[in-house]
Amino acid sequence: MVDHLACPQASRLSALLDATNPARDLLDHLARCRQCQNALECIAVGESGWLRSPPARDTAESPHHLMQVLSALKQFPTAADLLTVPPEDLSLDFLAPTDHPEALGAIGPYPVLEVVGRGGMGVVFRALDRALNRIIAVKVLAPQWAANGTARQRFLREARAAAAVAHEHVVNIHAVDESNGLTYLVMEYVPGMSLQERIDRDGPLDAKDIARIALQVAEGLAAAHAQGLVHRDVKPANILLENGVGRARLSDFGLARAVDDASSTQHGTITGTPDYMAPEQAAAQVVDHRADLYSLGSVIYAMSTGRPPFRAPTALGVLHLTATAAPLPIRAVNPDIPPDLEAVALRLLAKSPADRIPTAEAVAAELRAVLVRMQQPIVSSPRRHWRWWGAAGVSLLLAAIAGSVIFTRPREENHASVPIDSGENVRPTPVSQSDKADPPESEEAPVTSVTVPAVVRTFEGHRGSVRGLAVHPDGKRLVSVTGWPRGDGTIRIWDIESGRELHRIPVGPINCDCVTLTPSGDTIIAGFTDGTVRLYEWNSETEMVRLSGEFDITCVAAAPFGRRIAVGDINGRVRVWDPATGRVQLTIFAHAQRHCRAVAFSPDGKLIATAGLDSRVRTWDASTGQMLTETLNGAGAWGLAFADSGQKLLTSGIEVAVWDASGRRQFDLRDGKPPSTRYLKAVAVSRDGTAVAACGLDGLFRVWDFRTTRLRYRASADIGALFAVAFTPDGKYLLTGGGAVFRNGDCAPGNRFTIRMWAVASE
Amino acid sequence: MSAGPPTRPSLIGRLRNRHDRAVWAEFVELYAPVVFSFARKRGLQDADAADLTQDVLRSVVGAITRFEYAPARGGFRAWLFHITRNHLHSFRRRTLRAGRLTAQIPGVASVALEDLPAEEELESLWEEEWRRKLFARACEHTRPLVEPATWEAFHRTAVLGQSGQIVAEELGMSVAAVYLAKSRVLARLRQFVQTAEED
Repeated sequence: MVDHLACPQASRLSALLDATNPARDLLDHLARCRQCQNALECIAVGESGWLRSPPARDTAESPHHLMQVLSALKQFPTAADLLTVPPEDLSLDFLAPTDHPEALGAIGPYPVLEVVGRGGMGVVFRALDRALNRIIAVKVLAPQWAANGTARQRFLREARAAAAVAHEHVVNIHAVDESNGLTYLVMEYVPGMSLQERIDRDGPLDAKDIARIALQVAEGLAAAHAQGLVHRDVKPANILLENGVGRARLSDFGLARAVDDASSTQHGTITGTPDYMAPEQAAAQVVDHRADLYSLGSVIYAMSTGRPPFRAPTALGVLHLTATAAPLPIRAVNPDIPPDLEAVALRLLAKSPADRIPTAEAVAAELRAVLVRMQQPIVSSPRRHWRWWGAAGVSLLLAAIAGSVIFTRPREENHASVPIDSGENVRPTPVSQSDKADPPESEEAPVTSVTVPAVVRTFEGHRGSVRGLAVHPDGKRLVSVTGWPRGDGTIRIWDIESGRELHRIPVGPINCDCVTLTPSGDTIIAGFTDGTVRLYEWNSETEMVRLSGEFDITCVAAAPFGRRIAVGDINGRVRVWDPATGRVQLTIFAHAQRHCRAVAFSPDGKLIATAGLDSRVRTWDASTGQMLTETLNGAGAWGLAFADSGQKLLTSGIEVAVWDASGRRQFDLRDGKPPSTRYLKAVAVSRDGTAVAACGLDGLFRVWDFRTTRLRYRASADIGALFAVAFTPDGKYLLTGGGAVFRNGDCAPGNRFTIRMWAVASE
Repeated sequence: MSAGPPTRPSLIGRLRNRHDRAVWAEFVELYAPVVFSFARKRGLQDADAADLTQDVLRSVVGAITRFEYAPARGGFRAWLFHITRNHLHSFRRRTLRAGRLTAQIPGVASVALEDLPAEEELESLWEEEWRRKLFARACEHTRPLVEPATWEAFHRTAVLGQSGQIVAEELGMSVAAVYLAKSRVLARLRQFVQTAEED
């Protein structure tokens, strides 16, 4: 047997990694103690926990080919040399010699400095205009197109037309020329990135940026359309965002398509994407300026959601969808987009050109109006606000008059009838009196019919807001974690019988916003804002294993069977992780880059439910990650719990809503308070399924009888906001944690962070 | 030795100097195998995967000075994944147009190019490939730095999954020495891996 009490501290273990002469007793212990072997490995690998079970070596792969690839790449002495080679089979033989020392060669009179990209029709160089001493971009029509008379003619014609458009939101074309059999454009060089690169990098953009960029593109289009020019390939890759000022510049008027049209019979060559193409273009019909407007709608869509309106595995599939299907509404993907902006995109995406906003100028006008509305948000019904103030005043007055009668009696009664009080004179105070809410929130009339439960225990010691609580299945121990708005850097283990702190795990200066237990209850699973999930045993401060990730962890849940742990983060991702192997078995992009607020396994382990900042509650197949149900829950949900053997899902937000297995809302659990935005942050169901508890920012907790939906208790814990509730295994007691009084949106000083245990059994 | 701060400035940061030979070689060694193998496993033939790797690296090198990528968004690897995925998509589109519908991996079942897995799965495959290559490279780097017996103890326990007891008997080491060897090598691997992971 290993004596775990003899386990060395983490610091002694970690010294082993460097020690030249490790102490004998330590080695003896290490030889026998699995826990310390594990702990030592955890210290050794740190955040790179996956090293403990690295992916297996490839056996199928031929190292020979890989070596060839590497040596081919290393033939370029430096990264810069790679850039001098044109992409694919295009060689730079066509460049003329030049006397410029840094140039690769010359095109016409222009020494070219580097390849900056390739477009649909050739290569783009950064080049020097020595006459005007400025940097320019030179776009060369690829030789295979230059050799095609039709393509060349068309390219020249389109480019000359485009050169006539001078506008601040269009990349200006200085010249179109031919020299030594090369056909090329001389353009403004715009340092910056394309909108496509921006979307790839950042995902959906801010609504204001979207409207601003769309407006600028619309203005650029209006200028081109006024010249009778249709772009025909408006897409994020053709919109450049100028460095610094962020000004949008539209490039490549008519060019890609000019080549495509001439070459559509040629083999495997079209590089353009159909993702942004209007239906009439897809159907190869005659197009006019309204095709550009459709594409602008697609671009707005992509900026709002991070992807084009239609996606399919093949180009043909996209074309088919473009012609026949309606895109998923923008606000279903990204609720941050204001309805009026979505409406503009929608009208641009009309299948029939006649149904679109008729001109680019009209689009620009609408977008300007959208921008103005964003900058001056309409204050929503200020009068109602004042009325609530009035009501609050009246009820406070009533409370003051009636206070002694209504409130003090039940409190005394309760205390008198509870023999196991901890001795501390905690006054569980009913609602209106203690609610430190901002004035508009304390409008409710006092509720006299709901009794206040008795406090049977307090757990004092935390110096930060308690964000999570979990009770060991033996009912004897409790674990608590602290986090936003103020963590105290500790996980604490408490003795439920005495209220004493048994053990403390220091975690450093980071927030821990969630905690749960493995099904056996033996392992504590905590999620941190540094992106890690760490596993601990109850009696040790050494973490056993860790999952790292780049985004703050918001919620954790353990599968009822087996070892899987579901982990939600602020990027809307839910990962299902097996801590024994260190593998992430499944990654669900549950809430598209919005916070995933809560995650829960169904009692049979087959479903995962998630709630996100996108106001969606979704359920997923826990083994495949396939979405099963999706519901929109108004202002969103912060807490989740399964009830009724998994037949029902409870969410807490503005209220506690009860959903059936198909995602239909069945009923709400109410507490007589008017709806408020002081959200219910957590919901819990007792093990026997008969009681439901929820608590929230209003500092109140409530307990309902789940079968009759009757409100059993509602009371204030008197420590400001509440973030966590948990039933004891026997369902007789409820634990509450929290602590944060907000003043003007900030956590006010002088908070208390007491965890309390309340007697909540039905009478 | 444990947990020291990274001593090497970020590789990607240094790659902004496109004329540095050592940085380029290091970059190729670390990232090209990931892109190549990832493409091969998506059904591309060797030559196509090699071309794609070169195209991806060219995109990276071309873009790296043109804009600041945001490390907070999942870092360089996530960005590289985006670029690789985009190249894969456009390769697929080109190939499909050209009528070559499938490609063969010798010895492995034929993979239809249309069957690119869902985005999330693709990303986790990418992550796995990255780790596989990073681990292999970390091993290459670390192995010469430790005693052969230490390496053997590590390799058998950590990679081959043999029990500490058995390895100790076979190598004539104490059990504690085996675990110590394993952890010490892990710590060295981690040092190597850490800097790369921070990019």
